[in-house]
Amino acid sequence: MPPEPRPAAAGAAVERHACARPSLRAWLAGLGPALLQIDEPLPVRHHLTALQHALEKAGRHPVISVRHPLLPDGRDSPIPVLTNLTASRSLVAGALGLADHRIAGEALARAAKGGCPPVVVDRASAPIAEVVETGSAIDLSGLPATVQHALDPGPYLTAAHATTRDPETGIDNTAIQRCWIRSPTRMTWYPYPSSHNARNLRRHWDRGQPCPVAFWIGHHPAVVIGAQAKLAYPQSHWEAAGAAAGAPLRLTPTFSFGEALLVPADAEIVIEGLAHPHDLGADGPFGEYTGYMGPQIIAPMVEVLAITRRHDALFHDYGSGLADMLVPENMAMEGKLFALAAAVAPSLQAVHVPVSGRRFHAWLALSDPGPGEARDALAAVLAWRRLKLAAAFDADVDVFDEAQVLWAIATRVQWHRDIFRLDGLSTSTLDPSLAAGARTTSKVGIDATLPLADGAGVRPVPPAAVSPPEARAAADDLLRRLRAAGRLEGAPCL
Amino acid sequence: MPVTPVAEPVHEKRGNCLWAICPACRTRFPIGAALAEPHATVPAICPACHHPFHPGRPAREERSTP
Ligand SMILES: [Zn+2]
Repeated sequence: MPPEPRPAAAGAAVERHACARPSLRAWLAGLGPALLQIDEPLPVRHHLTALQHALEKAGRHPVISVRHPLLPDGRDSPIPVLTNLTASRSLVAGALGLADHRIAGEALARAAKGGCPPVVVDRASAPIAEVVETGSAIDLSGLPATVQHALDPGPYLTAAHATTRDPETGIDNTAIQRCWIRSPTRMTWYPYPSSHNARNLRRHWDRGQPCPVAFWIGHHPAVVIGAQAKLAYPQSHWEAAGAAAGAPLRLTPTFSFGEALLVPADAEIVIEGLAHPHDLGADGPFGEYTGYMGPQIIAPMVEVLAITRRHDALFHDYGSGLADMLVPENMAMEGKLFALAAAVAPSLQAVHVPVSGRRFHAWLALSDPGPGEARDALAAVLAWRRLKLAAAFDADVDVFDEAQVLWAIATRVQWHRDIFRLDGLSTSTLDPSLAAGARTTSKVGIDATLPLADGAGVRPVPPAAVSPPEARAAADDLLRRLRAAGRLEGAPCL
Repeated sequence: MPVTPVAEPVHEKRGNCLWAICPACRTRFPIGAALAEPHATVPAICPACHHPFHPGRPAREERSTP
């Protein structure tokens, strides 16, 4: 199997956006053929997510724009739905200004260190304030929120960024958290119990106060990804979002809470509301990153006070548990794992958290690791909560090509010699393989690096069977011409 | 382990998964432990028919609620 050339990760340029005012629509305008426009009416109940699954099965990951979403009650929605914004590694890398998705680990590990402070603009210059709906004009059920999977109980906001504020310090927090639309003015909101938004909520409730919350939907993917940075508490996410987008994020006061709660001025839709003390309801089941349905749980309810939006607003939907959701989070995880492993393994070249392993697998590439270095790197990344399996490879294996990963595991590993297991480590309780009540998990490291080269630089294993470079280049060229002529369309798959 | 004598249970445990069973339409769906507490104040909601019910209470009692 011929190894693909890798881009140089070390010192690779991270080009910043020239875009001074990042927004979802500005990004869409530059997508070209990566945008799949669906012109026929498409039901948001099940059909849109089914299309995402079908495209994923076909190995295609375009951004999907549905111009005429059909609501569950049969109405046409005038608000288009955008989904699959972040289903492709190369699109996400482009949105983040990275030259290649394979350097995400190293680039994001470096980017985590810097911030870009936001600016506050008045509502008159905020597109998000063009339309304000209050009182009887509020209608959550008019939004083209998707019903994604068979056991989902109803339409969900899946890409709503919930922004709350710590009542003690006034510092805001932002995270994407799902909401089940229960009526025109009420919805659930699920901040994970350990999340910073849940902490802000409890701090309000402990004071006997309702928790103000603003859900903003639709922004440049770099803002969306940057805003999801894992930070300390309390710490605002605006600087990380600005750093990812390469421009200060423009914020504006909310209609209901004014300067006490700011939202991105260039988003598409904002839903403002109150979570009243101990007003709770059932939420879920809901499709999770594991590919299984997560259980129905108890979540706060939100009373909606206002919906504000652009006059021609777009609605962003995340395919839950699909590549759309896994790709950006896994790339962010690559940044975390790169930092952990590089601290003990200077030969680290790249980290891949593949969508196939959900968030449980990581593949590391090392260049001539010294004695024990591959195992050091594996032990370091296995400390990361969700990881269950990490494998280390020599840099001739393209860890972004899973056929090569499995080839190397098949041909470079002696199980008695090259694996180690760590038991009793923390884990995600959503892992269906856990025993009932278990709170910890077992993890495995695989050292698939080859034995060290001898003094003459020759490894004690046979050379890989590859074509010479000039023949490979000629074959690539022929393939390009055959593809352009449509001659490969009937060619059978493996 | 005490057994509650009801004809049709409204929740059951299989492996590491807790299932609620809708008394109205018999749809099974996974639930978290808090919803299956006998004294839970928040009802589960069937994802198929939206019937609210308390999976932690015996089915007979559950059926008498509107
Ligand atoms: Zn039911």
